[in-house]
Amino acid sequence: MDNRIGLHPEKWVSVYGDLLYAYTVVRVKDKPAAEDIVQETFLSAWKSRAGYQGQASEKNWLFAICKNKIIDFYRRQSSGMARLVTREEDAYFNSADHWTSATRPNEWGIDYSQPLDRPEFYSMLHQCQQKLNTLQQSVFVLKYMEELASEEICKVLAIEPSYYWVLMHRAKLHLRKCLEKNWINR
Amino acid sequence: MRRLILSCKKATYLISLREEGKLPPYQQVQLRIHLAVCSMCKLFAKQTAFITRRLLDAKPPTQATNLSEPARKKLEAFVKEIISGKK
Repeated sequence: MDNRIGLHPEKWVSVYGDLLYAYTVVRVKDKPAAEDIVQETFLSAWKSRAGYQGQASEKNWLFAICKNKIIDFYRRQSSGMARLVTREEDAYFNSADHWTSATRPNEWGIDYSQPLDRPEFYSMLHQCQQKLNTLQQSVFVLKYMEELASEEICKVLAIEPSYYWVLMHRAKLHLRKCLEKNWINR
Repeated sequence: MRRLILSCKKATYLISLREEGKLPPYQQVQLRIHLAVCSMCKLFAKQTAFITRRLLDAKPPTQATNLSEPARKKLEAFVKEIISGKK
């Protein structure tokens, strides 16, 4: 019996519970959803334990399952959702489709090539992200946190590519504005 | 010539396509010209790229991202049950 390649389900919650939860909670809208995803991850892992050959560490194996559960969550969420026809990006531009003085980007006075050493930026980023509507948040998280290609995201969410780009456009407009308003100008 | 001029709304939309290499050559030229003369859209591109890069930075430990005690207990009980074959 080689324990290095074995699984230890009795220790899953104590060893990986917080790690999986922390990973998930920044990717979905609320805490209960994140808790459910972690629970589903353990259930799936238990059911497929016979297939675990030890090629990946137990931790990486659980994270791979968790990633799939997060994608499933977005898939389910999107399938019950109306595709709203809005033109909310218009709020940022005038009748000639140019920036207005109130919505134009302002210089933040930071080094854009470096991570920031300010925790409050990250918590504001998370808060602003939570304010996006569900589909905008879905494309944004799947693209920039799960790092899926746009084609895959369209499949997961069952949306047309043109709609994907519209959602992405809106997500970036809202997020940038939210950060500028609440973090830079606070 | 007029068709070479992009609006800011269109330019900010195309920035995401460019990032994924989905921008046709003609629009690449349009976008490049727009960004060369429009400091606001250039700033938009810079700031949104900055934001998306920050998403995968290590999160500061101050953030409360641990399981709550009730949630942990529930999970412990759940895993115990599946291991013992009750689920």
